[in-house]
Amino acid sequence: VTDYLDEVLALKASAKTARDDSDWQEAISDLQEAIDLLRSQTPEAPRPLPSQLASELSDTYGLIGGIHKRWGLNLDGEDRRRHLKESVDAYDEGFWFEQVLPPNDANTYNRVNRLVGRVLLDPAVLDKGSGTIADDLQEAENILTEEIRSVRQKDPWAYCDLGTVRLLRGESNALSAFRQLDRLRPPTFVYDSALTTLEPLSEVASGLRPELPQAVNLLQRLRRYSE
Amino acid sequence: MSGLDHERIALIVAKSADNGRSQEVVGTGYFLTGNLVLTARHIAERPGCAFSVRAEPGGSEKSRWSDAVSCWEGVGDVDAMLLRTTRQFGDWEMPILRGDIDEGEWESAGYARAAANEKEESRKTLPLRGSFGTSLGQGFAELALQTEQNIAPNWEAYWKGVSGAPVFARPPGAQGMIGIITEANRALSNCLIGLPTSRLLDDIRFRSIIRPSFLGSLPSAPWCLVLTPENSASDLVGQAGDVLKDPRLRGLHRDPIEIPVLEAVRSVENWAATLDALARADYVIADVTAFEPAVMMLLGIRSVLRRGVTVSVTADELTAHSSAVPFNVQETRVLSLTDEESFYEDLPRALAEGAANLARDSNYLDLPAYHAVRSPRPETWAEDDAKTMLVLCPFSEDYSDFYRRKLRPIIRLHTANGGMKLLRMLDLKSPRLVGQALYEQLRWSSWCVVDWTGWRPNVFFELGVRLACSERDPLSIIQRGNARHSVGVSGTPPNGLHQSDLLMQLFNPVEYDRMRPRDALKGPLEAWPEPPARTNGRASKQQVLPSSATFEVAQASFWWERDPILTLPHVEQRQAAESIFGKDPEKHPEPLILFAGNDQFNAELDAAARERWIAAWLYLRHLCSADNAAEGIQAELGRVSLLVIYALTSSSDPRHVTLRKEIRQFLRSERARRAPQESEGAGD
Repeated sequence: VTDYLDEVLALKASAKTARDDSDWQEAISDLQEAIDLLRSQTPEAPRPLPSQLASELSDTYGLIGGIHKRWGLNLDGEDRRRHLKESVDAYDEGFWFEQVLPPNDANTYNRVNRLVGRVLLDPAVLDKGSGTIADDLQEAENILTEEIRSVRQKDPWAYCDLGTVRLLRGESNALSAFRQLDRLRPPTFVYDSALTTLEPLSEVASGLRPELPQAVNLLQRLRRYSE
Repeated sequence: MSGLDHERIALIVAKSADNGRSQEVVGTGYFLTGNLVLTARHIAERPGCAFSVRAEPGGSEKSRWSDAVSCWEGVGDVDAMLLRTTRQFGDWEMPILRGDIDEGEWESAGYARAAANEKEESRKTLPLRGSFGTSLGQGFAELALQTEQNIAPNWEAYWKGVSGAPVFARPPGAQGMIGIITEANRALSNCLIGLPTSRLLDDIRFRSIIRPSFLGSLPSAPWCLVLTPENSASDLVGQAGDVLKDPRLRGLHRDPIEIPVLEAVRSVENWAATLDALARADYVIADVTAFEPAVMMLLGIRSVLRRGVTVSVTADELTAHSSAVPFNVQETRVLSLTDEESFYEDLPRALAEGAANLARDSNYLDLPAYHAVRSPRPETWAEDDAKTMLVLCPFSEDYSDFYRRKLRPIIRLHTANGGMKLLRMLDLKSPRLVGQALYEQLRWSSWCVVDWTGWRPNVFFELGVRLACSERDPLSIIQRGNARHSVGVSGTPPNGLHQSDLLMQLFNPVEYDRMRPRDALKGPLEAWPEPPARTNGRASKQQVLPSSATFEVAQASFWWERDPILTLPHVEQRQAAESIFGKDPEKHPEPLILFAGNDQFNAELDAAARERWIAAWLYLRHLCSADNAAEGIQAELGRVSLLVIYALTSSSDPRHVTLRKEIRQFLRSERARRAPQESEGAGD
């Protein structure tokens, strides 16, 4: 078990380095190799999947989703749309594994970003009523509120996700989630990642959700202080 | 069969290479069982010997030979060795080994050179017989063997090859194997010297090998040992079996292995097998109901031997249990069997959580002592050790009064160094926590007296710790009239415990009269550190544990492969780096280190983690520079290279920037080096 997980860890590190160098193709290639390795373990694995395996699959798909998103946001037109669509597909795949994670591995990265991706593709979805992503956002907020009260009270990503979900729902208390995040004194890359999510959202959906630019400003300020 | 069986005489050939020249030494052995041969150790005096053994039974000459490996060698001047043959010859029972016959008639047979046909290079056995006595005096006793056969003067080399031949007593006296021949007397051509069987029986590992373990063969997969007490009405083994089916314990051997405590202390061999099992068991569930002394002692031994998962259970309500729990196991977690429903929830969880914690936390402990007995020798040891003695004893008011007035002065007066300072647990002056200081003393004190009086559970836990971690056995004593344990938390057994008798037999404590303790204690104290006479009328010599036996078994059995001191530098450095920010900091950015929110501290943690990664990489690089670097190490270097590059990403330190470039260059050259090999492989 240790061997393949260690290999996956190294491939993810390599992908993150490539991602930080904007070498999207190289990053995706590393992550696909990690997925192949993880997938090769699943036929032999007991059901439900061991949490380590499910957690890595969920995380690796999430990373692929994040890289396609960044890649797409650097492009225009059909290329942009294609990468954003691939991003949503990867998040959906990761979400499938994420839902079954036990409490000590609880995560909402894919749950939230699959919705963010849909908004980036079509901001108008925010205006549609029940039966659309509104229900998913409501459910995500409920889950995050409960997790922050319990197992994820010190997890910076939980506060980022909660702030994002509340912003997309147009709630007035969204910024407080980011202030709570700041109290945890997270590493700088957490602010960077949150900004990578919110800045493009702000560009496409600030008309529908006016708090988005405020949130971006707040996070930029908090990030500066954290350095 | 207790007489010499000529069919079992074995010819031993030990081959070795010396500067490219093949050397061959011939000796004699005796099949104790169908594949276990006893011989003299000096046959294999050169390192790296390969053994061939010829058995008498069989068809063709070729079918009578087998390769063999050494499975036991005597320590010090015990010139004996056990070889295990790869082939099984005969269905032989263990001969009776006699360590109690001092003189009489003997017989043997061996492959002495005198009986060899050197022209035809064939060996024959030379039957031997005569009378024997025991040589005493300085050093250990030897067998003096007079032979009816004479080797001509100046031809003593013609005894060669007889080494290792068995010596059997023969009628009209008692029968049985009394030793092996080890050398020829150079002054007397008809006199041989033998190693008495009693010296072999003093070695607990020898005894463990020649008798099959009462536990049978232990599982190779991770497994769970269940230690059950003498007085138990529960079905702990059945319940443990149910629990082991829990999915959280996947991969474990399905059936628990039970060790009933009475069996563990029934004989020297069972004791050794139990210790070996305690060292090997990945999980131990110990029923500590009523804190039976042998159970506590075995827990003490486990706490020294293995940083594994150990869960204590009790048939008592936890409130009743807690009120009587000995201080040294107060911090251990105990589950109650009284509420079956919660027990079935709690036990698998305790086992699974313990295993998970053990895997990721090098400080994980569920019993005390493991780390404390491995602490360095105290600075003042050389100065203090000769002047102080550790005393493990009860602390009741009555006993304390007796100790101060009578026992302490006697011990002080009659021990070798006279006037030693006696230290009970409460007297320890170390600044360390009391428990830590006690275990440190248990390991390092040369002088330790254990008074079994009262059969106190804490005393037996500490005795177990001492026996396992010190090659110097303590002097065990007990007040006469206390030979039967009768202390319990609840439901005190009306007739005491049978294990008391077995423990008395196994450890042979010196019994003293409370009114006249000096009478019994003076002799053993003055002779100490020589152990007291082996028999006290309760047990035969073979029923008493040999000196240092527990330590010997502990030393041979403990899982040294996992000792942290052997952790390779790159693993150690990587673990240290990962302990700071976790294995995947981006996935889990929660701070793991206490007070990491302190900005200055956090910055230094960041730097420390990077430096650890660099150290891991450099050491791996060094390992891989060897021509014969293992494939696994090269793969590890590849993985660590990627992790180090990532760890250094956010650093602008020129040293880090340069190293990142260097590692990238290294990875490129590795890929280039492998590419042709892989394409060649693909073409095959």
